[in-house]
Amino acid sequence: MAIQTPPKDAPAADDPKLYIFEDGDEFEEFENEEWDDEGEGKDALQQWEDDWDDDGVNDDFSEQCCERSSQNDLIASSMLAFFFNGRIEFIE
Amino acid sequence: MASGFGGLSMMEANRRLVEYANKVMEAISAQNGYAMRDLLAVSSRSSVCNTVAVALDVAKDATRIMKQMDKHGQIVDMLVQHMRCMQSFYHKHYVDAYNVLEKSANAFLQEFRNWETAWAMDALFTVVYELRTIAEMADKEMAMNGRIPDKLKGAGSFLMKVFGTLAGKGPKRVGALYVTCQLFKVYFKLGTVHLCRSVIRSIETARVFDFEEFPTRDKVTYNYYTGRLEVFNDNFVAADQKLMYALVHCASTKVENVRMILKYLVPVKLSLGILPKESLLHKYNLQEYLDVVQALRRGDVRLLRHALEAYEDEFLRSGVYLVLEKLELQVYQRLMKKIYIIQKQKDPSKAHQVKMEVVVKALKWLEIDMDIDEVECIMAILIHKNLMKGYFSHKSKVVVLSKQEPFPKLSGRPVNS
Repeated sequence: MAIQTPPKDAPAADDPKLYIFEDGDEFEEFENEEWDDEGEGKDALQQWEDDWDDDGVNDDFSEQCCERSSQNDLIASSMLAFFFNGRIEFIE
Repeated sequence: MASGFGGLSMMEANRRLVEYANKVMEAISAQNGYAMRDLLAVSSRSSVCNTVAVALDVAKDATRIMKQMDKHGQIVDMLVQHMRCMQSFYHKHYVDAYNVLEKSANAFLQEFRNWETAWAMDALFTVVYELRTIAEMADKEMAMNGRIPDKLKGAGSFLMKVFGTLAGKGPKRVGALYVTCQLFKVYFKLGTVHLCRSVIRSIETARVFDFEEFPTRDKVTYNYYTGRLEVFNDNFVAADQKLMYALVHCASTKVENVRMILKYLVPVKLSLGILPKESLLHKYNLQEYLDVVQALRRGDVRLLRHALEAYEDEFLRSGVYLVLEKLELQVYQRLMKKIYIIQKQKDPSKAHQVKMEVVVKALKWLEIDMDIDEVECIMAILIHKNLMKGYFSHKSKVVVLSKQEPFPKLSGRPVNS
């Protein structure tokens, strides 16, 4: 019987990464089963803003707007004020 | 007396192996789970492992001396394989190490089933952890040698068997969530996350399980992974619940884990119209979200697109790119709201009518080139998704906003799909 060369399982792996998946966000193992989580709980709940867009539209754009005459110009400069954080750049 | 290499004699080598086996037997007799756990660890490269490995190098084979002990049938079989695992691991032959470890684990599992109490749970956890860890190393070795890796996949199958052993009435069921989380890690690594479904269903529907009974460690890990799955499936309300659970209960000392939770939670919160404090992003090194948040605050579409481009690789890798991209609609909502507010301040009576050409102009300042038809399209979508209340006139190119709450806030609700 002729001797047959067994086929390789896969083409030579130039880059092992081709066959290896990674999960960049694998949770680290914890050392303990339990811990006191009272403190962190409250802190974590206070990091989020639901009312961030309750606009009084404070910023100083309103004053800068009043310097311009026509309605369109007022809108125009107000927009610029918004997008450039209050610094007016006049584009004619 | 004949000397083996490293100065260790055959007699001494055998003695050390028997000593190791005796310690294991003692731990079993005393039902000392912690001692058992420490004796079964492999990847930690403890002094116990090194001693066994070197002794086995000299003794060549432990079967004969183990058989002489034959006190606990399966345990002898287990130890013969386990010592080989320590030896292979010591010599960095990870495929070999995995293969014998699986045999050891099989024998151990059979004994574990016969023990009535859960005294050996920590030892079982260690075996499970080693299976996963060494399988990963074995897969890398296979890939380097041009073979298609399959050890981690095999470990996954074995872990399902372990899960099955624990999923019943009785004290051992409290270990099921740990094994579940190890399975999650396997599936996420392999990219076969759809396999998570069956074990999740078992945990959440089987009557033998009371979720609250599980250790905090496992509940946090479980909610992190199931939270991530909800993000993949665009179930933002569920994702919020789970990731918040993980965040609130995670040990604050595990900073990397907290960071990972936030990495997925922030896009979820943004999708629900809730913004994180900037200090939070800085504290946990999540700068990639700073511009995204800023874009939402300012209604700055250009800034959002810039942020997506700047961190494209990271967002794609973690799978949140599409979630963030969809925020563009909320950014448009903010932009429209700002235009409305400005108009309201100038002339409240006319504020609710917004000329589309004004929107075109605003977008032009943001270096976004859109014609009036494209703007009309955006207006239609905003109204359709209930981000803007009103209608628009195609003919006069004007958006007429509702006088009451023209820009409904999301406040924890997702955008209508």
